[in-house]
Amino acid sequence: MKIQNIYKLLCLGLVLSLGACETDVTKEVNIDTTPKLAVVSFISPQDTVLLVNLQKTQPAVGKAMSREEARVPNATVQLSDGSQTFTLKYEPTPDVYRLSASKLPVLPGKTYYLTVAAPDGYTVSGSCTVPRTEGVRITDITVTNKALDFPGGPTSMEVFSFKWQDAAGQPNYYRTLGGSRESQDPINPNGPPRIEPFYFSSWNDKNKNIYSDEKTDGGLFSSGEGGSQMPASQVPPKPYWLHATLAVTDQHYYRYHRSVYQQADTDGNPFAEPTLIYTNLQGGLGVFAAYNEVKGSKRVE
Amino acid sequence: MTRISLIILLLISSQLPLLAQNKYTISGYVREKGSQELLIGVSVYRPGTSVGTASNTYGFYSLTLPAADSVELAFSYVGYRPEIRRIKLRQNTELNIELEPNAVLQEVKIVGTEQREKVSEAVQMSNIEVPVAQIKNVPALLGEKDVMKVLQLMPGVQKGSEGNSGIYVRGGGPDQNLIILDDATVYNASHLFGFFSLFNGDALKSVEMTKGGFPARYGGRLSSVIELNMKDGNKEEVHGEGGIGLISSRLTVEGPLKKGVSSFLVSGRRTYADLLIKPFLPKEAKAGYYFYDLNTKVNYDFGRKNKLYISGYFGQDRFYLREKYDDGDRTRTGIDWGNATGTLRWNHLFNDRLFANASLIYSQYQFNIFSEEQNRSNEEFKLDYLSGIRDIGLKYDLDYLPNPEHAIRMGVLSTYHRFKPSALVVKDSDINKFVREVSNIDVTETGVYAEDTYRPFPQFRLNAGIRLSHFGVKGKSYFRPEPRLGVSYRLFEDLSLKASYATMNQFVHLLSNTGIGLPTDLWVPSTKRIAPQRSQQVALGVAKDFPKQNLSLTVEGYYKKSDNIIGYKEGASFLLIDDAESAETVNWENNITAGQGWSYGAEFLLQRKVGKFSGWLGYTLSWTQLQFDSLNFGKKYYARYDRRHDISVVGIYQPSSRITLSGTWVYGTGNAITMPRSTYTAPTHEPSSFYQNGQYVTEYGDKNSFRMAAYHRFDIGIQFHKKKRWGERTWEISAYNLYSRKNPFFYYLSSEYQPNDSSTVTKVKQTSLFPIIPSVSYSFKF
Repeated sequence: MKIQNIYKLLCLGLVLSLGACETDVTKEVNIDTTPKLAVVSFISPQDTVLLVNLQKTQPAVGKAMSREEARVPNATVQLSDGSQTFTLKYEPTPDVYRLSASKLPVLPGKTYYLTVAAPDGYTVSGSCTVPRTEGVRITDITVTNKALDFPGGPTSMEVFSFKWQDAAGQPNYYRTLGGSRESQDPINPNGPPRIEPFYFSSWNDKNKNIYSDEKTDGGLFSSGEGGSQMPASQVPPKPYWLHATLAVTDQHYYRYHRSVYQQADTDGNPFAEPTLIYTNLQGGLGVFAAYNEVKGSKRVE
Repeated sequence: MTRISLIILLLISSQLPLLAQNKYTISGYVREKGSQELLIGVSVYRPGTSVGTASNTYGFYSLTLPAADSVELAFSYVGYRPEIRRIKLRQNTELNIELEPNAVLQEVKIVGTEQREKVSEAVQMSNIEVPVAQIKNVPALLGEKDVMKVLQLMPGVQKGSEGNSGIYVRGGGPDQNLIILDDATVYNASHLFGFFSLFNGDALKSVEMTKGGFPARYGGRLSSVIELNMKDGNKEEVHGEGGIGLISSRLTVEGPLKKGVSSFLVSGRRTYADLLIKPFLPKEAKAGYYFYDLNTKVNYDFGRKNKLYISGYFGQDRFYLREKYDDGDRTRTGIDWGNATGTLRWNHLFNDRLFANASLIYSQYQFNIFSEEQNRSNEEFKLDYLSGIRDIGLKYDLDYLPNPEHAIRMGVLSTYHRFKPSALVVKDSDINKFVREVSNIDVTETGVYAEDTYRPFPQFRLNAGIRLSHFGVKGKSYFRPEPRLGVSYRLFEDLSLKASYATMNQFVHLLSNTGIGLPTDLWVPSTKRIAPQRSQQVALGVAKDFPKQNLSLTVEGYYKKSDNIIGYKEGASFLLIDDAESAETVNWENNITAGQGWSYGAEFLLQRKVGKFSGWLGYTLSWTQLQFDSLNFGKKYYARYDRRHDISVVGIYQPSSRITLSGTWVYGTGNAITMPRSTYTAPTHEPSSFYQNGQYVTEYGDKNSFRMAAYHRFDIGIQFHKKKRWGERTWEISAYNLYSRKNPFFYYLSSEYQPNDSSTVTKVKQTSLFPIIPSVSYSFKF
């Protein structure tokens, strides 16, 4: 990274030229490194299965735990809607606690409670309310060609984007989930339609695909640019359908993702303010958050 | 402005006949004998009474007394032999005084008088005056005498980190200090990332700091005012002083342009580490650092009524790294920053009781960071970042002294600021050339004030005033009235109770990522979106003098609430600019957040300014908390420089005129910082498995919830003075951090692989800057 030269220069100036000395003070400093329980779960009415991820945190100082030691396979993880409570089952692969959504339907406007009890006295709890989607509407979906200036020569790629209308008068948070193009299969016109997905990458997008209406209540939002995995030469003939999926999220979902992406962005920059990872849980770290999908479609002639 | 001045003058003139009945005015200038240097803050009083005044910034005093055949007047100033004059007062009288300096700040007793600068006599509280001669006696890092570091040794004033000249006053940040050099604001008072301050003691006449109970004449910052005045220059004969130290050398020359009428002063300083390391660098690389300072002043005395002063400061820091390899790779990286100030001042005496000063002020601070790379395939990267601020100001002040009960000051200061928050050019072969130029922001800041120091009866004094502040920026105008009040009640002889209240507003803000005074810190104005910072401070205190011992004791408690203070959002840094795209998203207004702060505490200061043994003992007990909606999830947290205990002991012993011994011991609670506690993989909701991996994140606990180890240090110095035919020379041997305490500068985590059990162990490493640093320096005066 080019900016690293400047860091180098600053650090050199600050430390080396002034004869700094380094000491191991691990035993003298008092950092609370007791492992905590990190619990992460996102629920939505569109889910068929409800998943909760559990892990023990690695102490920042001292001997690192192995992957096995960080696992928490013998916890009691419960989800409740206030009247019914279900215990989730642990699955070693891929190391999650699971419950079928048919047992505990996730409904808009309803509050859900998560409690986790694990050996060594860990208890973590939290709650979230599933957002409603009334008033939120996808207004436009497009696929355009974007010229790229690659070192190997100019080329182009298709980019997918959409717009949506915010529901005014209440705080709303969003996540653009993706989209697809549905077209007739040229080889088998009478067979099932060809579905071509478009993905948004959170790591490259300036908004990280998460949005808040804090400053633009009731406004029109635009997604970032979603990419297709398909070569430009295989663009299907018109007409075709474009579909977009938007998640209306709760505040916890938004703040947690924002903090995670932001910390990743500034990782390694000694001059940036440290970013704290958001949590809405009591007794632990992580998040219990909800979202609710809104879909939109457009026929392109 | 002219119209306002005229109205004020008319009002004052209309009062003169009434006020002058059977009273006459004694007025004049107080100067230093030999050099004719005007002296600031000299006590002028009638011995045995509480009737008195003090000379102003230009050495002028005025005292109106009832007519008498014989009036005795005493003139007293720290470091000078007091003078007593007896005069017949049957008409307005001009009395210019010359005070003789004492070489070693001796205790001087003259029958019928004593050193008079009693803290119990002044209405002003939360005020620090350190004689420049004393500053030169306090041992310093590498022998570089530093005004700001001496101020850091005072209660209520704290340093940021090791060796740093940044100042934190009563919980306020370093940007909340108004640093004025000859009326011009100095925006970045640091050299070498804050290790040395700009101010060359040889060029200074006086240093005064106010940290609370601000009189109405000061405005524009929340936490303190540090007023420095440059020497005028010797009007009688050419003199010089200088020094050769381990890292820099300095030279000051002053003398008359026209004897008794006009004089000049030129003072310069430069470091030479870059010149010394040059031969040791590889031929491919050229790297180095230097700074220089240049202070200049010229003045002309047109007689009693008019005086003219022109002064300027120019300083620059330059850090550079150039590499050129045989294979064609080339880099050029550098950081430059510097201040320039200039002041043109005109003193005019309308009459014996009305003194005026008009100033035209220029100040500029500019910072440039650049990096250029070119490799053998001719791929190029270029980054050039520029930020800065430029001020042009007009100031007009009137001192009106109608009688010993009242000292009225009023005036106006209007400053036209031009901010250049960031101007950036990024060029990269991978992308098209990208140029981004943030347009300059032009604003005007105006303050109109009036204050009266009133003594209704001998035991009671008050200073009441109001400052009306206005700030105009495109699309928004802020108007802020700022009431000020200070009262003092003398309970017993030499014992006063004091109280003060001040509202302050700050319209310019410093965005600082590190708080260590890097030149990357960025000055920005209040805008439509960013409201001015505001503070309200109350202070209560006791001031007691022990005249026999030449000791003064002040104990003060304060409470300060600040609003709309500025902080960086989490993850924000202007140094995030890495390429054209990130530059586009880095907008300073988006990167900052407003919050509030609370500071409270108690300060204790026992001080002896004169005598064979002088110095002070200071202790501060304080708390500083901050709250920002978008930091620490909206919860209150301790400021980085929240310091529960801060102790400083400064002792200067002069057993003879040939030797000065000095020692300093400081102790401070460790800084509150944010340290990693644990790490974990934070899964994120990624709709496509293509991107699904989660992010390895760090958990810090609450912001600033970790305390660094306490800071303490002992410095000593010994000076050997010797009179020579040509003047005087001084050798100084000193040691900074005598017992080589490893004070933490920062901590970092370091992971080490353990081959025996294939595990990884993370350790906390502490970086300390200075072990014991001995130094030797030579200075001379002629």
